[in-house]
Amino acid sequence: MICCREVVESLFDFVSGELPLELCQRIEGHLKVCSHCVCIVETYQVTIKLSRQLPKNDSLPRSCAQRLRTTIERAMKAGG
Amino acid sequence: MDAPQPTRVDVPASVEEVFHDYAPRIYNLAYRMLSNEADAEDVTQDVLLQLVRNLDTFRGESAFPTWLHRVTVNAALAHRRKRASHEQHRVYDPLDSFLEDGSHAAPVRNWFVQPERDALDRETRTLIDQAIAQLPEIYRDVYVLADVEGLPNADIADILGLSLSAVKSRLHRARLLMRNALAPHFEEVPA
Repeated sequence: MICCREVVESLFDFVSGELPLELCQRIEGHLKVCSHCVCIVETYQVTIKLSRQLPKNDSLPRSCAQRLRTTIERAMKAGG
Repeated sequence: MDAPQPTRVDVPASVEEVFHDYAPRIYNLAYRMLSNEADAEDVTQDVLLQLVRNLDTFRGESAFPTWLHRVTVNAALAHRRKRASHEQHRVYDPLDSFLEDGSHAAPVRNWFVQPERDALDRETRTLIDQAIAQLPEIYRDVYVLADVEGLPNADIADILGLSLSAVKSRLHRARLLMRNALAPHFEEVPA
């Protein structure tokens, strides 16, 4: 039977659906009897979802924004 | 190294437009890669200046977001090299933490957070950003590009000059390290 370490090693391909069917079935069999691995699979996926929810356009710190604005204004006035 | 040329953008007409449309995206990516506000500001300035200087050359079809990612990542990596801050010590492998028989070395508990239902509050965002900042650089770069920025693995391989299998391997370890870092904050308390 597949061990926990092998499940975790294969997790990347397992959650992205890229595992060969036979290995996928062995992992699913392991998950029926190992609550720790079930938790790892679920929390691995939650980690990805949480990170994808991070804002990518958070506003800049105010002083930083002012300095950058001034630099860009100068560069544009100078014609780039 | 010369920056690759973008092939299309809705050319920003004003400082305000350049700033509003691009500065936060560049800054957030640079900050997450470098974990330092002053370094992120330097990189943002560098990339915005490249953007302004290249405004006249932006023509064609698509690829501007890729160009922006590539130029920002290149600038951040160059900044890191200049600071000689890249880590030389051995990087911890999360796959090493199993018992000899291949079972878990410690109990694994479920989490109470529900990302599908809950928007990220400020505290959770801070926890995740702190965990990202603690990742070793070789894992942090792929993690930020894949799981924060949402780039395809093939694009990340191209931008970072890695093989696709190296990207997948690093991303898997980064995810495990992120999971391990967040677990103490999100685990359900045993009854």
